[in-house]
Amino acid sequence: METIIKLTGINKVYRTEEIETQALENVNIDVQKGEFLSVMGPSGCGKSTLLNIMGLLDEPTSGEIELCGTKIDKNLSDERLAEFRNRTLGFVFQSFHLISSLNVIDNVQLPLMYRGVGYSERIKRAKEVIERVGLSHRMKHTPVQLSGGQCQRVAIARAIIGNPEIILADEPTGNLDSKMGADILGLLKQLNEEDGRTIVMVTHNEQQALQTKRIIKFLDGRQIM
Amino acid sequence: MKVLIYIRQALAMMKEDKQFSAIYIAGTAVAIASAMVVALVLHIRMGNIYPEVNRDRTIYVGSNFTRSDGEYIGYSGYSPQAVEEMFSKLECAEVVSAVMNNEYIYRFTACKEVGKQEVQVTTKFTDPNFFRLYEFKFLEGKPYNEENLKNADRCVVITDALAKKLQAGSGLVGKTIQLNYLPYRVVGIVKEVSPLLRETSADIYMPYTVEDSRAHWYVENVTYAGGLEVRVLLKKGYTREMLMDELESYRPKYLSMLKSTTGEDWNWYIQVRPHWRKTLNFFGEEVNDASMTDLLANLSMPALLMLLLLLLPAINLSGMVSNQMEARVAEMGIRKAFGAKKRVLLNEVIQENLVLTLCGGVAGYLLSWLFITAVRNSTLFLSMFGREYDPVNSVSLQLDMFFTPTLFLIAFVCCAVLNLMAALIPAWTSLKKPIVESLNQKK
Repeated sequence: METIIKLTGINKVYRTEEIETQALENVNIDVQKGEFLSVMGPSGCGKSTLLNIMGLLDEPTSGEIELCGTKIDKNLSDERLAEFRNRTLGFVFQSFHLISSLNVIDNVQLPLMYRGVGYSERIKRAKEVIERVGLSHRMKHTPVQLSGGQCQRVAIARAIIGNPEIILADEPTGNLDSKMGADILGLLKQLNEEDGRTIVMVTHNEQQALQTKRIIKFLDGRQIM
Repeated sequence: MKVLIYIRQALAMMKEDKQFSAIYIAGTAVAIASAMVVALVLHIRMGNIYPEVNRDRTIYVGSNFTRSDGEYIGYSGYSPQAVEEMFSKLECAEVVSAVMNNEYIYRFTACKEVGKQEVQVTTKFTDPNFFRLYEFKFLEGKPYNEENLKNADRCVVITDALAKKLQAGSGLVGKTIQLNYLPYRVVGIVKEVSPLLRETSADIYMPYTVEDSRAHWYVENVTYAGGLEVRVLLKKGYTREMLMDELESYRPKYLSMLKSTTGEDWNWYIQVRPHWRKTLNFFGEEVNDASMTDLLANLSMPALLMLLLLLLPAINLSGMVSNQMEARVAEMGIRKAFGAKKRVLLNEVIQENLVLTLCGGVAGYLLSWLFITAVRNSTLFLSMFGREYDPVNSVSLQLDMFFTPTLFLIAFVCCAVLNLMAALIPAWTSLKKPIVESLNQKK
């Protein structure tokens, strides 16, 4: 098995003038290629912080990150990090994080735009992934015209359009009812099983976590299982 | 095609936040309008405008003379004899025209027939080449010719506006009108020239040999001196310096003539001014200094004024953009999460903002036009063009004074500069926030 995400000795400390909060403490995680991993734990235990660090959205206070065989150097420039995120990672957020002033197709093609892919190719691929998530009839709609489940489908389409190796999903069903939640989880499972994408999902929902290949649990910034 | 997305997003944002957009566009419009008023005044003074469509190749030649001890005596133009001798065979000239100096313009009274309604008119005394050097549009008839000039025929070219005032309708060519109660034959009718174009505008044009002209005034029996200003249209590829070199060869002859008639030594100073030098001289340099450096130095003054006029509103607009960027922090976080680089985002924000600024720019452009149209008869405005308030005649304006590619370009540059000043700092400040912080920021 090939290790695609390797976190070694990760610590994250948030400091203000008055207090110091240890969000993550000596976290060591290996994620294998093609794995579907659930991260569970109560609110404030550091799950999202872990996902942000994995996704290079946040920096650890100390520790090492290795993604797809590349060691992420602390001195890596913002530009190189942006490029790495664009090619390797796809994100699905609890609150969808779609851009309200863009329609579905423009939201979805965003990662390819920042990769410098030409317009016609972007549109072609955007249409393909939108079709895959079952929203062909909503391409010109803006996020406010869509339901929560549809928004999350758009977010998934955006996460996979760049064909990233890793998808990081931060409570992707947290804002959806159970039916829509199951629907979205089904879609993620499909991406994992059919495309072999590695998925790390933060969730509160034990039923959903049980449907993934591996579960790790966090408490007070430490991995307990 | 990315631009289309920026435009779509900018339009969507305009719909989303109508109040911000309206205030931003209005602020931009006022800023652009004030800068464009400066540009418009400059364009009317310097640009290629009907019938002075070759201003960039037109040179005005006059002369000064001083005693050998440096005492300034005065300005003189040229006599018809000097025009013939010095200017008729110039290698670098496409057309040479002699016009009675503007300073001697005086008014006539015109009427169709004695006893009919009289109107005050301005007159220009010219040679026939005047109508070749400047591209007048003849609606009827044609210019007077060399024969008319030689014979001092009382024939005139009048403007369509005057023809209308005289209630003559069409068919006036070949008939006579009364000027100061003397009959003059109309040989042509041209499209009116705005009074703001000092070198060409008049109601009536007639040969400078007509006896009412002062073209023959001479200075102390020096036959080279007279009341004519010479205007040269350079051939393409020739320069003002080449013209100066050609004219220099006449200096010895002219100076010896001065000495023989006055018994004194003189300095003769040939004024060779390109059109722009007649209208732009912030630093009071020697008139014969008209290099490109000099032009740029002179243009830097109005450019600085325009920049100042843009700067103050830009500070206010920058505050507005800053607030708007606060509302877009989460969006910037999303874009960065999906691989947008800071400089790309900065470029995006500036381009999106440019859509708004351009909307304001178009409004500002039209506003500046309305403003100039409204103040065109005011003393202050007319003084910028060496004109005086005329209680009878309203100043006419031409469309090519306002809508030209150069002015569009200037307006666009103003918009781009204003946009940069207003959006760059707020956008950059907003983009510096860490991604996680941006993503967690509520709208």
